[in-house]
Amino acid sequence: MDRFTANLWTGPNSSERKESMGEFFSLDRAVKAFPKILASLNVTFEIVIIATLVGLLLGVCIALIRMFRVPVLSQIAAVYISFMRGTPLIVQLYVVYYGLPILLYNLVGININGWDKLFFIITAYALNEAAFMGEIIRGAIIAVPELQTEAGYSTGMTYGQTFLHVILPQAVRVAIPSFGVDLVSLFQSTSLAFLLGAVDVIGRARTIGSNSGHYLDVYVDAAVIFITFSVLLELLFHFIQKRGDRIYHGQH
Amino acid sequence: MLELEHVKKSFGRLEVLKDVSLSVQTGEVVVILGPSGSGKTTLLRCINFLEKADAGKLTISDHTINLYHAKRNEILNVRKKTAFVFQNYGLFRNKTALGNVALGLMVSRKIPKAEALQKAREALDWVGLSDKYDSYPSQLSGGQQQRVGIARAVALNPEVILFDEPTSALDPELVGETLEVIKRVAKTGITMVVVTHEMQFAKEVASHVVFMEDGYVVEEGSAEDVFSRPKEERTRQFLSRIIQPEYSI
Amino acid sequence: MASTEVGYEINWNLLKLALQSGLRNLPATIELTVFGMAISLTLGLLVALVRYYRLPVLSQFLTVLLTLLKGTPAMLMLMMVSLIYSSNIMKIIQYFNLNIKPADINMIFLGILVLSLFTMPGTSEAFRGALLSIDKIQFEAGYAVGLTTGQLLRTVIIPQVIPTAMPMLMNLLVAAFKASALVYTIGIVEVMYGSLEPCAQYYQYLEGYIAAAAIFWALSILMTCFGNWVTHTVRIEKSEGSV
Repeated sequence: MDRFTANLWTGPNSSERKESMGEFFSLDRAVKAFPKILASLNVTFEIVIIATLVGLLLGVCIALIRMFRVPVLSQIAAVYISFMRGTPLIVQLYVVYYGLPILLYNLVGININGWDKLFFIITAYALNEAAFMGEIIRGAIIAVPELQTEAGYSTGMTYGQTFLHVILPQAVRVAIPSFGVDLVSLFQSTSLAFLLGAVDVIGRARTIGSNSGHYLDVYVDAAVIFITFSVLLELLFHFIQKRGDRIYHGQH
Repeated sequence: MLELEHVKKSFGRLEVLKDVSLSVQTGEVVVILGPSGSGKTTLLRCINFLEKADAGKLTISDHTINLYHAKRNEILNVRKKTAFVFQNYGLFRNKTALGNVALGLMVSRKIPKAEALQKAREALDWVGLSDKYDSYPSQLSGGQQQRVGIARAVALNPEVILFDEPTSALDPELVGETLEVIKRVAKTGITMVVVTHEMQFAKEVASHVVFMEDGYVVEEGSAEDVFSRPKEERTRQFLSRIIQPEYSI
Repeated sequence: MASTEVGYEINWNLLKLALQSGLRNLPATIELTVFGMAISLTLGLLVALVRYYRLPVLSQFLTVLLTLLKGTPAMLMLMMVSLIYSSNIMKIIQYFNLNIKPADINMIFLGILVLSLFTMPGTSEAFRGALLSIDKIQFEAGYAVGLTTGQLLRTVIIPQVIPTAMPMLMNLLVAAFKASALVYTIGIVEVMYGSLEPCAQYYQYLEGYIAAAAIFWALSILMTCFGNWVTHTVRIEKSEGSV
């Protein structure tokens, strides 16, 4: 096993094998560790929330650029989206982590090597989210029939006014299911952050696991947390959609 | 008060409007007839720039605009002077009936909210939908949706209302009630341009009839002249195919 | 972890080495993706059928199982499977008196297992959605003509399910392909592992990740085109009707 995978090897090494002579899985250990792992959820949420907000902002820009076919920028956007959707997130994380300081230094001479790891992690997730959000938003806006826009024009509204009052509300409704799926996916993908040193749910779990020598307990804890919150998020979006349908379609 | 001169429009290789001129006097109800593909809907949509014509001029209440080179604020001005009733109703799906009528008033005509809502209620009452203020388009029948569309157009108090085949998408039993409402609009004396297939309705309501075919105006005149004494052979052919002989039951 | 010296030049020679090494291991990545998807498609179809017909006990159990799988991130699944494997492999070897050492076993099968577990919720949902979209009449007509359920499914239903489910399945294929990169963390040799190998000497890993990115990017573009072609082709066959 060469050096570079030594710190990534997630199976037991020889010392761990000796220690797991004790019980392999213990409910008692799992329950004891659970609160500590749960507490690290704040880091996970930090990643998810910031990545979603930045991703939304950037995503809107990307969607608009592509919809209005801005020369040069929309081609760049298309390549960007292709890259973000076509390469594994783990690769993107490392490329941002190692590459961003180099890029910024060569471009503008700022040295960001000393910055908190979390910054690079969140940046990578945000850049990834922006691409997916951009596509969701663009798809949702296109899904609104052109007749709605024409109706807005016919009453004397500008495109901006029509967009704000007519197209956007309808596009949001269309986007909600896809957005929900994307959010759950983002939440689960934070499971890669620990590789870059984040102390999120999995990061914390591994710390506890390495201290006690028993990993399965803490992995089960982490799995429980991920499953529970994934289910909760799905239910949340299910209800948001149901409510939206009720408002628009009444007792039909 | 509305004049179109030498309008041309092509979609790719297809020349839909070859050279069309139209003149509408204040208070007139102009009905445009013709087979599919004649360009009548396209002509109507060129008036409020839902389609951008390739050539021609539009004069509306003494302002003349070049249809191809029209600037954004000119287009906006024309749209503020006109109102459009769509074949497929064109109601805003995310707004109630009240919201649909009031939105243009508030955003485009900058009328304060309370006043706009009041006008909207009056317009909906006028078309007979007082009990449907808070209904969404998906909760309304086709005929009701079209009436909301008409209310919306009327509430905007435009100089001319454009109707694009207002009853073509309706179930037959709903056509009558909608036509009644449109007749009432005509009685208010507002200038109207109507594209329709409903001959009986046209006979009752039109003050001026225009027959189009193949991107040209073939014949025009008063309703009586065109229907009873058509000058052109093609007009005669079209009318004979469309007008049902009247049966006595 | 990042190098503290800035003013870093990309080592093009290393990049070339990384690309070569990565590409050399492409068959492993493809193996992971293809076998993983194959298993998940087969099982996913079965699960979808069980849930569609609401077989008692089994469908509830599978629904719960799918929820558990769907809610677990791939990385965590990988870590758990690898842990259970390495803790127990010696016991299994001893139990069956097999004459092999753990190092002899190609762990790629672990990667295939995880990949198929990871994509199963997706494939079964795709098939289930497609099944639900089929008109009841198709079933009734089949029974009326005298087909058994097995024949009906084989000759009528499943041929209609596949084109409907195809877009989602193609998306899953690309997702599985990207997820296969994670297995390098448990020591399986594929594109990621290959791209990073030459970097260990130089202590510069960026070139390795860039090489891996390039390989995955190029291939996922190909796969997307392939996916679009497949979706398009089965649609045509469906609408023209096959005897």
